[in-house]
Amino acid sequence: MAHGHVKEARATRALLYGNEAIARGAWEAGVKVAAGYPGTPSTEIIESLAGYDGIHVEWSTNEKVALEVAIGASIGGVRALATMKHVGLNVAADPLMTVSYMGVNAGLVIVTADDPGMHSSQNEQDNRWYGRFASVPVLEPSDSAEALYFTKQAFEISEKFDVPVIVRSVTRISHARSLVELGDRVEPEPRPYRKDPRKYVMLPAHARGRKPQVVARVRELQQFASESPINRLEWGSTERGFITGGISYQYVKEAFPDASVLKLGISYPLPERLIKDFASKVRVLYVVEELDPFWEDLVKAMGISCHGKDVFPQVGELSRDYIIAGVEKIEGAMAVRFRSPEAASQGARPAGQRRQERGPEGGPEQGTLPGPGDLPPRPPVLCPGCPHRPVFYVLKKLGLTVTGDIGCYTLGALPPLSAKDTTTCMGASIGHASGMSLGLPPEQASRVVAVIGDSTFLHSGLTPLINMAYNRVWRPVIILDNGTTAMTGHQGHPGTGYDARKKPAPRISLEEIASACGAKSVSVVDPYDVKSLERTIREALKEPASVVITSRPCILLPRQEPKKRLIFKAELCRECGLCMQPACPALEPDGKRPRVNEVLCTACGVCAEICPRNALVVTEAEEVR
Amino acid sequence: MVPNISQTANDFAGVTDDVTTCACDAVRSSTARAIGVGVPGTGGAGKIPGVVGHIATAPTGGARPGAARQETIMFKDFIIAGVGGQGGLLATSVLARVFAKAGFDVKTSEVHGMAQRGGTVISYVRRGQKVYSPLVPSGEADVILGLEILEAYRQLPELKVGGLVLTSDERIKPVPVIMGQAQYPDIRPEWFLSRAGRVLVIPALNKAREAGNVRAANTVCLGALSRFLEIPADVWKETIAETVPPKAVDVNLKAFEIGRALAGTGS
Repeated sequence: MAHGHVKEARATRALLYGNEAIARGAWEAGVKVAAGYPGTPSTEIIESLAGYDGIHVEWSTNEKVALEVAIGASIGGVRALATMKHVGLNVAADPLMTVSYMGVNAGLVIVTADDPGMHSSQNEQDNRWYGRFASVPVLEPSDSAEALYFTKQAFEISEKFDVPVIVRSVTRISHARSLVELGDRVEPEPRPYRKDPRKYVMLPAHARGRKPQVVARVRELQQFASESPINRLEWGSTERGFITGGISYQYVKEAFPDASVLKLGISYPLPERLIKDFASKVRVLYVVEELDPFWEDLVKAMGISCHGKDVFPQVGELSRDYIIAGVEKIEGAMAVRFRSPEAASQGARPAGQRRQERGPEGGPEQGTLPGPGDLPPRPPVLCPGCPHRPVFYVLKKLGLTVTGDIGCYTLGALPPLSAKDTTTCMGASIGHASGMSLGLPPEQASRVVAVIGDSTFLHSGLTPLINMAYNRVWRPVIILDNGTTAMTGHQGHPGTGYDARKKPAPRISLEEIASACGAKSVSVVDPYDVKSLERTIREALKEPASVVITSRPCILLPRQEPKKRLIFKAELCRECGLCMQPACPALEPDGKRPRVNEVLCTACGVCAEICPRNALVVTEAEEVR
Repeated sequence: MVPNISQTANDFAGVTDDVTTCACDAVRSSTARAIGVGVPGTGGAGKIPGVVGHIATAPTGGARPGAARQETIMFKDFIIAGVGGQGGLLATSVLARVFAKAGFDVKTSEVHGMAQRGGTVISYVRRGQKVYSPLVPSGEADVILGLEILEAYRQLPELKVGGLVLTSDERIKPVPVIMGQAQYPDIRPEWFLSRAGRVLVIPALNKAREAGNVRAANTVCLGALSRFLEIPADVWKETIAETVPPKAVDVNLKAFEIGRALAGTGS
């Protein structure tokens, strides 16, 4: 993705995505090492940093490794950043919980980009909990300007309090743009490394020594939070007051621009003194936060009564209208005044759900036109020419039970392919396949296979594969190798041969890894060759200790192949419909026959392979007329 | 820094007439279909073939004399609706940067979906003296800019009554339609009038082909949109040149001009 940040770096004011602003903030703070694993909505932070010279930027194999690299860089004396999506921090939670005890040498900042509403995630966990869980501070920006500023501040806080600092973003910060003021980079002197086992070697005796400091540090940070300008009081009418922060702050301000607000920039720990003072001065107190009642519970634990999840949703994203609706529940509609009379008459229509709620209305033809519910949906689909499609076609044809993983290929679960039984988290497919084969009756157990992408396999598929070998709970593993981390926008990984800056890098061989892990049979097959693919998968079912690598680059990667074209020879067609079973968007039904959509068709030839009558033929483009 | 909004309104009133009139011309030459005229006194609108949204029958908001002008300067919340791969995010970038250059506070929001291509892509652009939320409140968008007509129509409930719909006539079949499980609706421009005060449906794809690359259809749409906004064409062109890849600048500038001409005369 081409970002304008390098061009705009010379200007003082720029329109940046939250992710670009976080990257800029880290760069201005003098970050020397940045490591991450791609994951929506966090990916562009590392991509953006790869546009700056003079720093080490890497795609790590997974989030745990990314954080461990960053911790090492911090101990070594330079400011370091680790980035990941919310579920990535689960992977990195192991080092997080202990680096909290160790503290830092140079500043250490961890960015977690959460996904309320689950636009592109398997859950919507609220990672503010990790702050409380690990006893580390959490900063939460409400726009790009704060994303830049808070990231810089996070490095200062990290060094001042000897603590790793979490910066939490969400989709509406990371993938939203707003104006920022750009600053210059500082180049902090590297901090000398002094060997200090009591601080950096967390054997039990040392960890016991550190724990009291962890507890004391939270109290110090609480004090800091009450004094820091990162938390901000905005006094307006004292009829109602809002404690809020992050993106929720924007919704509150839009709903009630004149209300009093305590805006939390530090989501954890909370500024107790500030909160008690604020609460005592407003008549009705609301705590507005997306997802869990994280602040609300803490505020109530201070002995302060407030409204929160009794009136605001705990599921999905908030919006201006949700805030208005919540306040109306307490104060009544008459008490709530805001700018749009139309919105008042229509009530709250929260983002995400709104389109389903009503049809076009108020017009002369009301009632006769199709409303949104009547329109054909447009679900995301595997692209025309996607090398994953023939794999799912074959798996469905063979009627197999398929444990799946995280990536574009999750779409293989959707009709009409419907060729997936599970999707949990990165790397889970392989362990699930072992477990399901242990749980199912033998006949069904012998039909279980695991499907995992190349990037996901290298992220966390190796250990469960070794586990299969060690515990003799093999099921065939199909690695969908499209040579990239496709879903997040084609990032490199150790199997691609290029790094985060798109520079050449050593390429790890998936075949050799599979053999080394103990697979008795390792085959590589071109998924476009559907007959070989089916034969290979059938063979694999006979030898459970097998790994099948379906190898074909993502169709969206630049290609150098000669231009080809798919031709339909109507006179040969017997209308069997087989060609349309892989559900390629480029092959449209024309009665019982296919019609090639020339705009979409990539001439991958999968349908031609499937056609028993050779009615579909791939030919060199020049040959046609 | 921020333009005086009421002054801009007066400056823009004349342009509005141009847009209306020229859109009518465009209908005659079969290059664009414009209906639901939001400016009173252009009685010719009723005679245009296919136009059903005469000023007298349009819904509230855009229907009242004077309301249209007021509404024009109120164009601050935009929804850009399209399909993955159509360049909706690039169009979002250009629009937002144009507003930033003109001195407005700007926010955008978008969602990077599950798949690289083929799904619905919706983004928001908001401008004003001060913008808080990056989300356009439901039912309050001033403008829907459609790169695909079904997606533009799907967003119609998000438009405020009397708002502007400007959409490409491109039809991209979603998978359920391709699979024969659903019908692609025969969306007619007048359908938008159930909420919109003004509708402009343009053959963006064909026009982009004329400009030299079908992928510039998004810029054709921006060109048409530019006629409805008070910001000088030079600011748009400068922004496009800065935003699109260097080798695509010429094609996109041409596409912008073609789109601008589609929606009106001048510049």
